[in-house]
Amino acid sequence: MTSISGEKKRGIDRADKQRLLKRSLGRGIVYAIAILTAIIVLFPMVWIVFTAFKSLPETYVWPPTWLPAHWRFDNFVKLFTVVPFMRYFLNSVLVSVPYCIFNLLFCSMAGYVFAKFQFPGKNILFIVVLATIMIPFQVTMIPAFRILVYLGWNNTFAGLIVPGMVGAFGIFLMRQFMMSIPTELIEAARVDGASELRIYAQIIVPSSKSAFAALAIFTFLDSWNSFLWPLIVVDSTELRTLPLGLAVLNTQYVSQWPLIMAATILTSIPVIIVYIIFQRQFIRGILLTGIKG
Amino acid sequence: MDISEKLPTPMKKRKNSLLAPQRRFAYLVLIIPMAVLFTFVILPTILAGVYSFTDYNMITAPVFIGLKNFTEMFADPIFIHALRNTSIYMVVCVILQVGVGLGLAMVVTREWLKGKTFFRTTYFLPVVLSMVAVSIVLEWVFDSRVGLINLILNYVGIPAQPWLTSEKTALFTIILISVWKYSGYNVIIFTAAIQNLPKEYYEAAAVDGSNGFTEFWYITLPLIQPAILFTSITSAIGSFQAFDAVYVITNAVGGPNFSTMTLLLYLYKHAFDGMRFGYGSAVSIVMFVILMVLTMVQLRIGRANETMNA
Repeated sequence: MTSISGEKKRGIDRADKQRLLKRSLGRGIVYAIAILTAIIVLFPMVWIVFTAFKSLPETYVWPPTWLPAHWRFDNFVKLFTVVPFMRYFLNSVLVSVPYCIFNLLFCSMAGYVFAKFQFPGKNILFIVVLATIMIPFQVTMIPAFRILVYLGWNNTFAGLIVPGMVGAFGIFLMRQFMMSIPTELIEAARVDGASELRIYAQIIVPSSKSAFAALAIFTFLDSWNSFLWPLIVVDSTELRTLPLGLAVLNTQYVSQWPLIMAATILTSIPVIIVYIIFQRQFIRGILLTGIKG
Repeated sequence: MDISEKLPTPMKKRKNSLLAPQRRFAYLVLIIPMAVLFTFVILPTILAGVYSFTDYNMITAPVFIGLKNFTEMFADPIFIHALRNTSIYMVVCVILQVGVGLGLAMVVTREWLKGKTFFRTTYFLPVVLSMVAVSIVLEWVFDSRVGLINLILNYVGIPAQPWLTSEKTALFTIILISVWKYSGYNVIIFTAAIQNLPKEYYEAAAVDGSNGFTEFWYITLPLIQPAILFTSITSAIGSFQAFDAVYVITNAVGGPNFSTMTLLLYLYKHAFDGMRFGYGSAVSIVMFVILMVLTMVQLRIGRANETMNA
């Protein structure tokens, strides 16, 4: 009896051990993939930080050194003295912030009207808005530039902000979100004598915070990282935004890696900060909208 | 006049007078958004169609030339090259971005995995960065002389590769750069899709003695098909319009020897460097048509799969 049960037990033990081994092997592989991918993502970022503090000759040493021999700030100083980098940075802020605010304002108001109002022509207008979502940028960019020239807006901030300050997608997102706000809430406020604008500001906006957060993040990033449209619209140094300035820097100071990497870091820091602070809203926003960030 | 105004029933009249301020508000609110959309999207779309049949330099008036832009385009070997490059780029990008996205989502949704938030945050980080910045950094990482990749290959004993400087590997290297940048977006979509799957399916499968692979193949994969469809459409649309990386890395040339020339770069060069806005518009119309057909085909395949699984 005892010997049989012992045999059985040993058998189970072996099977258990095998399963355990297989499981921990599987888990090991999963961890290896997770960590290796994180390294692939983070390694270039860490390396550019080290490089930005190196001197130029140091970057040509073979094999390369990891840490800079002396942590020097001249690359950053040079960016602000020799290259008008401060100007680029300021331009990016002056374009992205209004771009983001206008999008929030116009998309939310239009979305609200489409969600909660009845008026003649509503359906046709909404279909027109939806149709514009499907039109890719490269189709509109040449004639939009022509219209900009006609308006005298090429090479101006207006030319960078106005064409994108209303997005069909933003309107759609806001409308979808605001459909779920109870109409009784709005009607009650009307009965109490609140103006339409006040209802929007005091009921609609506070109830749609997550839609606002998502749209704010996306439009800010969209504008901050935008390259092709500024490339078309801007032709003076004073108006260059960061991506344009960075691209120019890359051709002017070919292979001067420390300087270029310092510029890359300064360009990326604001979006990294925004991303880390608003991470949760970010991910919720992506799932809410399913658009490319 | 007076009579017609008195005609509606009191009910209707009251309702109308109540609605009037609301209507006014609605129209007022819509003026600016609709004006912007009309001026910078709707009107340009119509104009692009018109321009595509003209010779237009934005200095003199457009001249109607019929289908000449289109015949010239398809006779231009560089355009055909760009079309081929963009197609290869798009197909490989979709496969890799969706594949890597799904694979990493499977990794970060393992319940026992520690540091899930860290991994997810890290994988998504490149998505928020500017493509110009990413291109510059990775151009340097792939540099054939001082680049990080060749350094690592050197350590492992593999000879240095030319990456961006060879006709054979340049396009593939730019594909890798875009996979590095965009896969994190798909990780988020797939992670949400996998987390929303009902746990009971896996429990039932575990009773039947399933393993990780069979669970993935028979439960996860069929159930997340909408997410696969969605990510492949967005990846396809995004990579079809590739521009920033090739512009920055090849100094707007699309080299070496046009091996990285994409359709959008081709369009940009002809329109804004060559001042041929009619021709550029024709290219944009061709791209639009291809994108529409592509999206419709993908949706059709998606629907066919859905009915097959139902």
